[in-house]
Amino acid sequence: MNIDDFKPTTVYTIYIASAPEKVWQALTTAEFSRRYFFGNAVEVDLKVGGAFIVRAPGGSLRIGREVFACDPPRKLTVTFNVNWPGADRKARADAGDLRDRAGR
Amino acid sequence: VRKPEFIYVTYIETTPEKLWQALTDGYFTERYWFGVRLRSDWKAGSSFEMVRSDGTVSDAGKVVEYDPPRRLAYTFVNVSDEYKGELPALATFVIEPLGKLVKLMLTHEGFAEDSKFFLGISKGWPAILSALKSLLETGKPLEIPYAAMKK
Repeated sequence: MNIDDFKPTTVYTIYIASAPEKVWQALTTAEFSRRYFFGNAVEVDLKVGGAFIVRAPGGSLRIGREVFACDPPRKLTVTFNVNWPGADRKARADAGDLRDRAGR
Repeated sequence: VRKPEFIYVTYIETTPEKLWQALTDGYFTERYWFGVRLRSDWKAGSSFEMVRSDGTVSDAGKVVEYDPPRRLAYTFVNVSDEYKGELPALATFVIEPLGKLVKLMLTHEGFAEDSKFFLGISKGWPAILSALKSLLETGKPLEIPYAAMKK
């Protein structure tokens, strides 16, 4: 797969009163993700080609694939396959292009 | 080619009535909308304007639907030369109560294929609605630098 093959079909922007490091931690750690991601745990090996996994509260694999771009605390790009009944299509989620409030 | 349209969904810990006031009361909107006060008598067909803090009008259109606290719709277009020749597009707010939360969905449609105004609103709404959510939930609006939207 080549990342250039993907074009975004869903784009969502949100401004948060926080620090880039805190948002990065929220996106990439199981402890934090369980608190907002319906109990799901994000496990990510933070390097290009590393595994990106989301586990359901019982520990079963919910979605997973790999890291395409990783530039803490600014940009994380992952692909994922979903692993639930009836869903067999590959999808890509761009977990964000994090900018601080100064817009840097 | 599909015409561009904008869809934004956000969940806010508030009541439909408070969110309705936040969307329609000009003295409330100026607290989170880059100082913009909405001005209208909110009757279907009436004029609708966005008024800057210096009193000048930035955008104008008409009220299409006013059904508190569930559905609000109005058309508008920026009146500056930058968007000369563009027609008003329709913004529709749908408020759905979900227990202690409300789900707010905004759709904005009716743009020409090459609309520059569409690119403008696509940058503007996430900032305005993020500031609205923060204000309703914490009592403090976000101070989003205007330059952040240029990226």
